[in-house]
Amino acid sequence: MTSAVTHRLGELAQAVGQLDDPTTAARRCSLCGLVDEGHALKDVISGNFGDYDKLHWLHSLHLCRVCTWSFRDRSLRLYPHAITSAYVGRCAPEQLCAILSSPLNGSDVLCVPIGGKRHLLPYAAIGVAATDAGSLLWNQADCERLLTIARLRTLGFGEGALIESAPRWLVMRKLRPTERAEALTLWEQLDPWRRCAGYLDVAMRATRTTKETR
Amino acid sequence: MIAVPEQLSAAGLPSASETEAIADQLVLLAHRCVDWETWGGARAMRYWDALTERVRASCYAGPSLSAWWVRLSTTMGLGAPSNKADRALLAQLLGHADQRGVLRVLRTQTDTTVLRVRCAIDTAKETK
Repeated sequence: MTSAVTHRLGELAQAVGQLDDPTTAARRCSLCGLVDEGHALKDVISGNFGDYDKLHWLHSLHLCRVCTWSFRDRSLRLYPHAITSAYVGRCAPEQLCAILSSPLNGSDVLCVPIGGKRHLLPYAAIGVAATDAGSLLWNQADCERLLTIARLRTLGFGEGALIESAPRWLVMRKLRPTERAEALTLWEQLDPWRRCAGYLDVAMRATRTTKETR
Repeated sequence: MIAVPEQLSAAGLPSASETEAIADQLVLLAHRCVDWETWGGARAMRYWDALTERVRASCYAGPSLSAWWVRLSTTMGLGAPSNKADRALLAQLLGHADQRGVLRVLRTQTDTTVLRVRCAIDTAKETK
């Protein structure tokens, strides 16, 4: 993480979280390089931590307040969070869908956890969507594929069906012939996402209904 | 009985490439040659999954569509086409110039090909 991203994360922390009071004097942060009060590294990360290669200033053994929060706050690992010009905060599916309806620009930070176990926000980069599978560029073609996923969902295809190589007959048999043709055409449009891990997970997260989110 | 190409085109499916269209017709012909005394009753529930698996597996029988058809006939218990039009169509399809292209579709797009055939059959039933 760079100090520029840390600064933006500070906005997010103010929107959704609460920074813990610092316990150490100002030193260079092991993760973002910012000189700030914070916490000893050993008090923040667990014994299972394995991303030492991402701590570029490891020698200082210190994390600033914002980076500490980005590791400690469990909701950051469970729910999507965004920092964009239009929205800062935790994202419900509708908000995530709205953000992903246009290409991510060079000042947006977006994290979409899928498995709920990985730290994404501490390593967030600007202009990409961070997921468990890595950082995803999000361009106009991806915005259109998101609409495709939304349309297939309205036709009755659930998340389990959408990842398969062909539409499920159990859903197709309930559709009219025109809708079947539409489903087959739309299915082909998702082929680039099937070859690249992460995109389908993000799109399905963004197109969930309130019922599925519960 | 409605001709195979007409049954597929009447289903209103998205247009397919030449090799995909050949694959669709071959699978529909195979379906028409199935022995329903073998695949009827309790086995009918497994029929479409079995057809999909064996269409794909038969692609490894040899480099020609004839080898594919022979293997599929053996494993699915297919009979010979029941009418003159289907027999003529089968002979024509098995002699198609792009054998590898059609086999590639049958191997890599099996689920979609079988689904298209299933949609065509279902549309024909509803139209009757």
